[in-house]
Amino acid sequence: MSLVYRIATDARAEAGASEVIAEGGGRYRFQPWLTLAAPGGTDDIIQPCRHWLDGIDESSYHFKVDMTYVTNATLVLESAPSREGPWAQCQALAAVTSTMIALSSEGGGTKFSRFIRWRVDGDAVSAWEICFQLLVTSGALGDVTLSPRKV
Amino acid sequence: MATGVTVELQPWITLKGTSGTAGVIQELDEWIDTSAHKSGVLQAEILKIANGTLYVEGCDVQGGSFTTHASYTTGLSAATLVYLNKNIPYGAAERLSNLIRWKFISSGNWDASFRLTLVLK
Repeated sequence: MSLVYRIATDARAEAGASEVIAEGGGRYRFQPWLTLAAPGGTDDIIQPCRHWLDGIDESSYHFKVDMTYVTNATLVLESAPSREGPWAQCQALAAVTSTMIALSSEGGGTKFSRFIRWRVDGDAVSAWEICFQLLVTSGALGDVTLSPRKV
Repeated sequence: MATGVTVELQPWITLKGTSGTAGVIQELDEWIDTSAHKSGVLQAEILKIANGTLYVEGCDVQGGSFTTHASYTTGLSAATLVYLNKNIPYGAAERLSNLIRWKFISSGNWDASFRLTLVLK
């Protein structure tokens, strides 16, 4: 099985336009390690649209979530059939964890429609902070082969 | 031998964790394969390390045992360099491994902010 990762191009681009960013039995770094901190009362932080995952050709994804620190915030994985939404929550994480999340567009389990993104929902009053990374694999986990970078 | 190249083993990163988390090990697909090079210079820029140790380590084959090339427990006021070479008479710590990675091992509530650059020749 060939794994193809598509990301959504600029939201202003024509509907359906996406870019293939990686092919082969690898894993896509949906969000490299990121630490965010803010005072309370700030708006949600949403992943930039050019990094959203476009699952138009995929029926399942496995997300590996590593969250080493979180206080007064929730990491939300959400999905929408179009860039404009509406966005539906797939998973919400508010505690330190290292876990795998399976999303499917058919069959059982947690569903996704097409576009997938992350959002950090910070507390409306208190200061919040979060440190996490998100890795994603499409299809079966057994298809993944990783190797160090050759330079 | 490949031509010389400068690579970021790790671009600037800030990590933070609670006492329940053991730390972070760089993902396999971000390790550097140096097998085509004969020597390297590791530059560490570390703004902060609290309650943990940052290791730069290497092994010659995937699944092999790792040798620590450098370790850091505090922030650095200036970048430090570590010289690595595949030829003797260098000791184990100074011998350039085929695969290089970093790991951060924590104790208690921890945080770290750093960048690692590798010059390979």
